[in-house]
Amino acid sequence: MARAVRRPGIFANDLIAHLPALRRYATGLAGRAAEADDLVQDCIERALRRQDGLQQRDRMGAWLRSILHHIFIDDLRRRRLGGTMVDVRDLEDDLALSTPPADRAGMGDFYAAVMRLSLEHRQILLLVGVEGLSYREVAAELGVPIGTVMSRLARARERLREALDGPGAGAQIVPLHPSRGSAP
Amino acid sequence: MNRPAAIAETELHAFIDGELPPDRVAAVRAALAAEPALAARAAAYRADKLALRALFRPIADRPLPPAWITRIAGHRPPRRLAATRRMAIAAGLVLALAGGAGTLLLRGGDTILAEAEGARDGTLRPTGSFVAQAGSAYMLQAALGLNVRPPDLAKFGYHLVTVDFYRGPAAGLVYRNAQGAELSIYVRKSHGDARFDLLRRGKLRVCIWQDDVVSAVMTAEMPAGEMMRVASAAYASLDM
Repeated sequence: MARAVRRPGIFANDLIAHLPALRRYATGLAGRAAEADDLVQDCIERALRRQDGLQQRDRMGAWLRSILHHIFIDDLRRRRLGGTMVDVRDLEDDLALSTPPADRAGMGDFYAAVMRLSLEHRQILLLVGVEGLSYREVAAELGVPIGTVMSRLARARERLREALDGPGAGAQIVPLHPSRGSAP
Repeated sequence: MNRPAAIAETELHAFIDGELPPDRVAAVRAALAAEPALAARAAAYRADKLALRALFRPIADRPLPPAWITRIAGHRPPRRLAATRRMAIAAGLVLALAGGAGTLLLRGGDTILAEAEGARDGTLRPTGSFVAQAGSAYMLQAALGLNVRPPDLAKFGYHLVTVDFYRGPAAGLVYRNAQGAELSIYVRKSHGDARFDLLRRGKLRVCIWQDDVVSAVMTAEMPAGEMMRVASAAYASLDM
């Protein structure tokens, strides 16, 4: 079973098949297409060198994302960046936006808001919202309990809303427990 | 006033993601119906999720850089150096046997062969002798200072029965099959260059292999073809 993974033909085919989604994930993490492609390229090299590290063939997506994530973190540390710098004007070139031009200003704001999130929050939004992973899969991939996935996701979405609505938007959040809150 | 049951924030998100346990769906729906602000927030979260997807999904449709494909397709899987050398020597063994070389000339100062023969005929006395057990691999590594394990030769019908240790340090692995035929492997750290030799000693066939890490001598009474298969397998599975 594990031996089949090592057969180069199968490994190479699987790896290539995962690249489009990996590139999408890398773009979400890094924010810039050029940087994302650099990440994927480094990830390919590391994956080829360490293909024995993949224990189960059906876990390749998670395995690649985890390698890529580590490379990204290392890059951030090396450059001593607290976060990713994004020039919003580049976004239309960087992202193949499927939205009509009239909506692009709104998409640009949205994109900038996503990029202002912490890496941890951006990551969980991407895994659930874009890569379509279940909570259970995210928990396994990140090595955290499912409850942590749920609370982190809730906080990430709340932060994104705050970033979009501007400061003070948090005041609009209704109480979780209507029975104890002040209903409008 | 009909007050809905309290729901947790995480339940709201699980509802959006289709991960809410069925028995909680009604409670979340009721809370949303009762609280327009909560419903608006849920709608906003849902819209954000869709917007995120719309933003990033198209990236996966872009054509991949051809350099990525050629890099992956042209990559040869890495192999440990020792294993590569071992396979090359095993290939030499196959060639020698297939070509009917049968016996090669003994080289001068063949200490490893002398040691192995001494171990087999009993003139070399072991410092310790142990019945094979689960910890044999560990003992072997500890005694030899080598990352080796006793090869598993069960598929050829041979099972490890004893592990003898000699000064050097060296180890003698003694295997036996159901008919009582004996196969021995004498192993220690390498003292020389890479080599491969195949000898015949009366009824016995002796296979010597050596790389820059391990020197080993396998001795057994068996036909050339079988010797070829067993020695190749033993050699390839010697390292951990």
